Amino acid sequence: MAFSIPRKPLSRRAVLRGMAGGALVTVGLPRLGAMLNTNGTAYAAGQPLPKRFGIWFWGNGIIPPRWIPTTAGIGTAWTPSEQMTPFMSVRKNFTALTGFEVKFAGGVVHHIGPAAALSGSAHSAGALNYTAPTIDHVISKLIAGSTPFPTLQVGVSRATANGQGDTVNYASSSGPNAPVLPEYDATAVFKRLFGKPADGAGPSAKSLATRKRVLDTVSADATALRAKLGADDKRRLDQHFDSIQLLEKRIATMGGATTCGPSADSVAKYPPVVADNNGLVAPEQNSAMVELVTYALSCDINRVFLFQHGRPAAHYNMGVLGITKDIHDDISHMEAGDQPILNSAMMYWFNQGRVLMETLQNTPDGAGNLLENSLIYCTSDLSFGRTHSTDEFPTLLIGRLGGLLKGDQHVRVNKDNISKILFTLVNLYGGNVSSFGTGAGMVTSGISEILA
Amino acid sequence: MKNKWLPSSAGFAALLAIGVGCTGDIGPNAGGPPGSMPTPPGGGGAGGTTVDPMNIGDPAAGQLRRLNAAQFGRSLQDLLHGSAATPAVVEDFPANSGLKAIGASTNSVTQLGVEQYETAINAAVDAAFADPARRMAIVGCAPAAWDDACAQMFLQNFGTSAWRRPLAADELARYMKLGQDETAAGATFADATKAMASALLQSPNFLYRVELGSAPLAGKNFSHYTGYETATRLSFLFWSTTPDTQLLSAAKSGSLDAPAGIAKEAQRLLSSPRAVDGLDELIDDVMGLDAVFLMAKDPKVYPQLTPTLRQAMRTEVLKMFEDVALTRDGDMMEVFDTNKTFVNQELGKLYGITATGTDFTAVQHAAEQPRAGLLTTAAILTVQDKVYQTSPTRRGAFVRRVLTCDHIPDPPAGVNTNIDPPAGGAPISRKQLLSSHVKDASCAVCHTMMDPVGLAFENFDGMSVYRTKDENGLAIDPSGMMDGKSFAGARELGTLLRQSTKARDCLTRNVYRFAMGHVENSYDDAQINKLSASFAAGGQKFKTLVMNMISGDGFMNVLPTKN
Repeated sequence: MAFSIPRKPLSRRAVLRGMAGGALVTVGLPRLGAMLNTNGTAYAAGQPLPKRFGIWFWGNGIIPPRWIPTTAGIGTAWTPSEQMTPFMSVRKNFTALTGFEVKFAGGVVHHIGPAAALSGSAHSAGALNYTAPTIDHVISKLIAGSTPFPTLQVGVSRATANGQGDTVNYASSSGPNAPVLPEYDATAVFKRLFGKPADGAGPSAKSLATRKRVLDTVSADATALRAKLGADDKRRLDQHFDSIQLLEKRIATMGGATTCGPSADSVAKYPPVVADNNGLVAPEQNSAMVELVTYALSCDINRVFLFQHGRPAAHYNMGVLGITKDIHDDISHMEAGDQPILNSAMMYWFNQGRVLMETLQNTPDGAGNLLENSLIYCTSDLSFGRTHSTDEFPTLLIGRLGGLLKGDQHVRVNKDNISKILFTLVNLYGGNVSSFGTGAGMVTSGISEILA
Repeated sequence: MKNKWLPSSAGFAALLAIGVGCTGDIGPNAGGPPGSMPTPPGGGGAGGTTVDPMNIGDPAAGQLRRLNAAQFGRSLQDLLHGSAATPAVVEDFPANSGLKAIGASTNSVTQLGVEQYETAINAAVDAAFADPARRMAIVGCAPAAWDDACAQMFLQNFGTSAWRRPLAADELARYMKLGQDETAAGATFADATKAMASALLQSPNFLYRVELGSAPLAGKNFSHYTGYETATRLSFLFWSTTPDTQLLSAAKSGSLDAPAGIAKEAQRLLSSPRAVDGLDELIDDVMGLDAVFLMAKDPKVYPQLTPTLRQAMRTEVLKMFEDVALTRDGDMMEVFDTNKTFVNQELGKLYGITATGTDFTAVQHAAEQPRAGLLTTAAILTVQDKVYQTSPTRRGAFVRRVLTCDHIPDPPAGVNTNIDPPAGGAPISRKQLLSSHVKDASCAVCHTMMDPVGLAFENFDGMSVYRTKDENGLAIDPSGMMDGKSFAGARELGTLLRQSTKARDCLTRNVYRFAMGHVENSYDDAQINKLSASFAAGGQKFKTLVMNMISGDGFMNVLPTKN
C-alpha cells in the first residue's frame, strides 16, 4: 500500500473558480487536507508535500519584439512585455527567461527546437524522433514516487501540418524513438484518471486478482523474449514491461470507492475528442483538460504532466478570432510587418495558458496553492516563425516550487544554451547532476539568479 | 527583406556542404524527413541506386514489429471469431522515416498504450466467451471442471494461432499454471481459459511480430526467417491480419522454408478478397491518407467538406488502386493518368459526375477535361492544401517526395519564409507570387523542383473543385516543366509520371520499404534494383512485383540480432 490517494471523504471541499475565455472553470477540490499537519505545510506523518512539474507547450513560438520585456530584474524592476501580460495574474509565480537559444546547427527547426528545449539533445536526422527522454520523463523519475500516473500527457489542439506526416505531433518522448502522444479526448482522460463504475462499486477483489495473475504471466513472457532481442528492441520491450509493472501496481491499490477527483456523474463535463473539428481551438476542451490535470495533481495521482496546447508547426484553426488564413503557412510565415494577426492568435493561446496557471494558483495545496508548489516550464518549437529562428527561444517558468524560486522576475541572458534551463530544472527536483544534454546541447551549469 | 531563406551565400554554401540539397544527394540509407517517403533512388533519382553487385553487404537484422491498431483489431476479430469488429480503442503510433510500417519496428508502447491493450483485449475476450458457440470455437472443449487435457489442447490450438507459432514447453507450463491458479481461486473452467486467452493476447508474443530468423545458414552469416515468421510476414503483408490455419499448417510442414512454398501461399493470399486489406494499408501508409481525416479546413470556405466526404475521398484512392492492382492485374503506372475512377453521390457531385447513393461505382472522367489519375483525386490534392486555399508548393513536394522519391528537405533554420506582398496591392496569381522563390538562388534549389509541378494543379481549388480562374479571378496557367519535360497541365503531368522510370523505381521502393518495415541498407537497394527491373519487364503489374519480392532474398534473409 504505497499510494497516498485519499479514499475517505475529506472534511474540506474548496470550490475554485477561474475564467476561461468566458467559460467558467469550477474545480471542486478534495485536497489532501485531512491528511496534513495543522500548519498545512506537510503531511501529518511528517513527509513533505509532493513536488510537481509541468510543461505547457504551444506551437509556432512568439514574435520576439512583442515577447521580450525591455527591462530585466525582480519585482518592479522589470516590466512585462505585451505577450506576457496574460500571465500577470500569476505574476508573483512568474519567471521569464529570455535570450536562450538552441545550439544545434542544421536540421528542421520544428523538430530540432522542441528536441533541444525539452530533451537537451538533437533530433535524429533520419527518423526525426527524439534521441533522449524529454524533461517530463527525466523529472518523473525523480519525483513520481509511487503515484499511479508517473507522467500524464494531454492535448488541446490537434491541428497539424496537412500531409506532413506524424513526427511533429508530440512533445514528449520517454527515450529514443519512444514518442508519447498526448490524449486529446477529455472523456478518456476522465475515465482513465478517475474512472468509476456507474454503480459506484469498485471492481471485485476477485477480478483484480485475476488481472494481476494475467499480467504476471505476460511479464514472464516479456522477460523470456527479451533475451533474444537486439539492443534497440530490448529497450522497446523494457518500456512495455515497465508499463505492465505500473499497471500491476495500480491494480494492487484498486478496489473500494474513490472520493478524490470529480464525481462519477460529471463525465458529461469532459467532452470527447471531436473527430473532425477542422482544427478549431475549443475553449471547452482547454478548460476540461485544465480541470482534469488540476484534479490529478491535487489528488496526488500524478505529479508530472505535459499540457500540449498545440503541436510543433501547429496549424491552429483560429476561426474563433475571424482569422480564415492558415495560421502557420500564411500568418506565421507570411504576415508582413509586426504581425498583428499572428499576435492576436498568440494572445489567445497565452490566455488559454493563463487558465491553467490561474486554476492551479486558485487551488489550495497545503498552506499555499498548487502553482506555488509546482513549476510549469512553458516553451514552444521555435521563436520567430517567419525566419524559423531558434535564438530568442521562448521560455517561462511559472510557479515557485514551494518557494525555491524568487518569482516575479525577468532574467535576460546573451545567447545562453537553452539546456541550462533543463539543467536547472533537473537539479531543482533533486537530480544532483553535474551536466545535462548531449552534443551541442550539453551544459555543466544552470541559472542561479532565479533561486530564492 | 533581402534574404529569403538563408542569411548569406556563405550559409548556403555550408548547407550544400552538409548535404541538405534537393538533388537527391542524401544517400539511400539516410532516411527521410516526415512526409518524405523513401530516400532517392540515387544520383538525382534517375535510374536505380548504384550498388556494387559483388559487395551488397548483409541483410537487415531481425526486429520486433508492433501490430498497428488496424492489424490488432483485425487479428482479434479473426482469433476470437468475432463478427464485424467494433474498432478497439488502442494506441496507434506515429510514422518513422515516413512510414507507419517503420514506426511499427522502432517506436515503443506507452503506459497509456499498455492500459488500452488490457481494456480492449478483456472487452473482446469477455464478449467472445459470453457466447457459448464462440467459446467452443476458441477453446475446443467445455468440461464441467478444470481439465488438463482440454486446457493443453486449447493452448496448442488457440495459443499457436495467437502467437503465430507453437508455444514452447516452458511457455505451455506457464500458461497451464495460470489456468490452474485461476481454478484454485474459484474460477470455472470457462473463466480460467478466458484468463489464459487474455494473457496470450496481452503477451508481447501477440502484440509484436517477433521476426528474428533461425540459426545461420551453413557457411553464411545470415539466416532465413522461420516458416512461422514467414507465414506472419505474408499474412500481414497481404491481409493485414494474423495468419489463418492454412498458413500456419504450411509453416508447420516446412513448405515455407523454400521460395516455391512461399510463392504458393502468397498466390493464395493475393487471390483472396481479403488482399484488399493489405493493399489498402499499403496505400494508406504510403500516400498518408490518414491526413484526410485530420486536415484542417475552413468550413466557411469549404462548407461541403463533411466527414462522409472526407471518407469518400480516401475510398476513391483505395478503389483506384484496388481496381488496377488486384481486380484487373493491370499496369500500375496507369493510376497516374487513368480516366477511370470511383465515386459515390457526394464525391461525384464534387467532380461534376452524377452518381447515386453511398456505394461507389466506376466512372470515367471525360477525356477532354483536365482531371485524370491519382494526382487529381480530391484526397491527394486536398490533403496537401491549406486551410483556405491551394498550396502548389506542398502539392509539388508530395509528388517529389512520395511519387518520384526525390529528397526535399524542409526549410532549414534561420531562413525568412516571408514572400513580400506584391507592390501596389493588386492581386497576382500564385504562379507569379511563387516566382520569387525561384528568383532567389537559395530558395530556387528546392522550389524549382516543387513549385512548377504543384502549379500544374492550380485548376483545382483547395478541396479539388475544378476552376478556370483562381480566387482572385485571375487566369490560371497550369503549364510547366518537370525534370526537363514540359507539360500543358495536370493531365499531361500525370502522363509524364506514368512514363517515368523514376516514378516506377519509386513505386517499387515504396512497396519494398512498406513490406520490410525498415529503412533500406545497400543489401535492400540491390533487391530493389532487381525488382524494379523485373517490374518493368513484367508489364508493371503489382502482383508480379510482390510475387517477385516475396520469393527474393530481401524477404527471406535476415541477419541474427546481436544480443
